[in-house]
Amino acid sequence: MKAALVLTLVVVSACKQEQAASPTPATSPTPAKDKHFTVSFSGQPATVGDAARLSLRLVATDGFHVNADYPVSFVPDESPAVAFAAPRVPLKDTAAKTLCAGSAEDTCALDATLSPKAVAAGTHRVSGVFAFSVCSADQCLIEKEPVSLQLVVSAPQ
Amino acid sequence: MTFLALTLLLTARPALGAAAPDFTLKNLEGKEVKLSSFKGKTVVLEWFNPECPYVKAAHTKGSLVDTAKRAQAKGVVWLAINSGAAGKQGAGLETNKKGVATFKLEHPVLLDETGVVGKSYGATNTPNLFVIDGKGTLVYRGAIDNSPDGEGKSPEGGALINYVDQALEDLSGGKAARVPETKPYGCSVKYGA
Repeated sequence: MKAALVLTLVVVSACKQEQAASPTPATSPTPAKDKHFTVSFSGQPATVGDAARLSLRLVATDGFHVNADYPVSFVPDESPAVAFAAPRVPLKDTAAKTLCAGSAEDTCALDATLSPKAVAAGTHRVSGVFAFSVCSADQCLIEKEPVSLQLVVSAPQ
Repeated sequence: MTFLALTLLLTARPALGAAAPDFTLKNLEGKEVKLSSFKGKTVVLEWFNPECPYVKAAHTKGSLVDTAKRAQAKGVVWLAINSGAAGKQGAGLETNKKGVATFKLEHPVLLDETGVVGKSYGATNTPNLFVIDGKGTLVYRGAIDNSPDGEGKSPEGGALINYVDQALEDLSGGKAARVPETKPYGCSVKYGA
């Protein structure tokens, strides 16, 4: 019987705060990169031979919206757990879009499903880079967000 | 850019096959550059903003890497135009000089802080490319390529197409651009009010 556990990992992305190259302590802390979105990556336990079900959710915040023209994609890292059909998984046309409150055209949330084939039993790390763009009235940002989760894959019964 | 502003901008632009609007703008050295002085030569106009992530990506990883240099080697005039208003992202003399150095540009960057020239062409994005033939006719407008990530990694339809390379190749062969118009992608042009 499949474990009912649903793994959910809200990605605390590798927020790449730049480190001072000099050994001299900085007089003021380097500000963290401004982020105008949240990303979550979750997965349900899978069985070897079946398609796993991984979910990516992007929510634009702070008055930003998801850039509808950008080719949203997921580039998976090598994983012993799952096999993706392609080295880059396009998501722009398949992701479900949620409009921003009060807007008839701007999207504030994207929900995408990834369905790689589960290939090896065990608990494995699945990771990759989620590429998307968010815009405000003043600027557009291209984001490459590293995401990962631990996926439980069971052997077929 | 609001839907209304975009509509007004696109309504005002010249038709493909029509004369490209003439202009005179100053380059980063303060010298005036007049489009009509290049009559007889093919001219590419590239709307530019050195702080736009799409421009950065296209000039460091994507289809704008060396495209201008290749074109200039064949006698094409390549002019980048920044229509960002003073105080907006990517505007200003020093910011653009830095951009020229960062991207190792060998073509002029012209400043259009009033946005008059950008609006006369209906430039909506950075990058947004326009190709003008030797007679001064607008023969291509749109994106640099079919990969709206700016990096050339997500070409729509499979193979990466550099539309400007393609249009220049067609022109040099005495043919019309096989794809005369595409939808530009990237940042909005940072026009003033």
